[in-house]
Amino acid sequence: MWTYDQSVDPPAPFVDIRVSPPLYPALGQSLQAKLDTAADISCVPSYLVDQLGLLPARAIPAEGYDSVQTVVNTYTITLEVAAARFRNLEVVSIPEKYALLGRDVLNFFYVQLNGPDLTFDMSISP
Amino acid sequence: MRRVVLKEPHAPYTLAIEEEVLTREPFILERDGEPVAAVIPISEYQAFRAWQEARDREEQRRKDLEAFEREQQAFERLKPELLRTHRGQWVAIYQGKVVEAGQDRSQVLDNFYGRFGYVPVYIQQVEEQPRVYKLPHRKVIR
Repeated sequence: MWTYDQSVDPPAPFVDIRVSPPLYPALGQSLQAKLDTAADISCVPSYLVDQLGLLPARAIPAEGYDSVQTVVNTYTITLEVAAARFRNLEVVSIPEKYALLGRDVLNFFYVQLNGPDLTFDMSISP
Repeated sequence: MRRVVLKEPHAPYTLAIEEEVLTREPFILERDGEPVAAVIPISEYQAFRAWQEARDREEQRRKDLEAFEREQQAFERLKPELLRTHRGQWVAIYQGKVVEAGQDRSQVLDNFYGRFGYVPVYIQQVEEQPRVYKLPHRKVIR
């Protein structure tokens, strides 16, 4: 069981993750990721793209909450979260200190949010 | 800035440098009146190395991005033909050509990395209209 991060307002569910470039697991870095069921695709902080030397993989059209479309580059990573490992996961980059786990990852998990207690569970099996 | 004159043939050289003085200013080592090296505080050397590495990373990143954009342009050029030959498949474009293709993106990547290593490549699905991804997060880097 995890607790919500209360340093953000309103508090939000964050998990510990590890991100590494393809072929180089030893270069992986640990960081926090916010659960974001609104995102089609997961995101990593831009500083991590630089530090890990991630190479762009392709360009995709992305649409924000304002329905404005932009073309963004994607990157390929290995993601470790909640005892699961995702190889060749496609992500985009955001100017934040944390990552976002979108539905491309969350849909592999059972996630139970307990808002009133500010706790949540996230696991591969029920 | 202090200057220390090196004299042959007293090797190995011995420098009497007080650590406290070194933290204030660098020393220039001279031989026959010509500067040959500088002694600087380790903190300054580390800062210099960090700057040098950041510059090298930035240069590498620029080259990688240029290579990626060339492969992307190649994909756009090849797309009309790919729509006839590889519709719906994932293709890896490398050095202007399709080098891997298949239905599974991860498998295409594994095959590519297995052959060429972690180098700039353009991996795209061949489709008429690309899918639009919803990213409600307010800041996404273009």
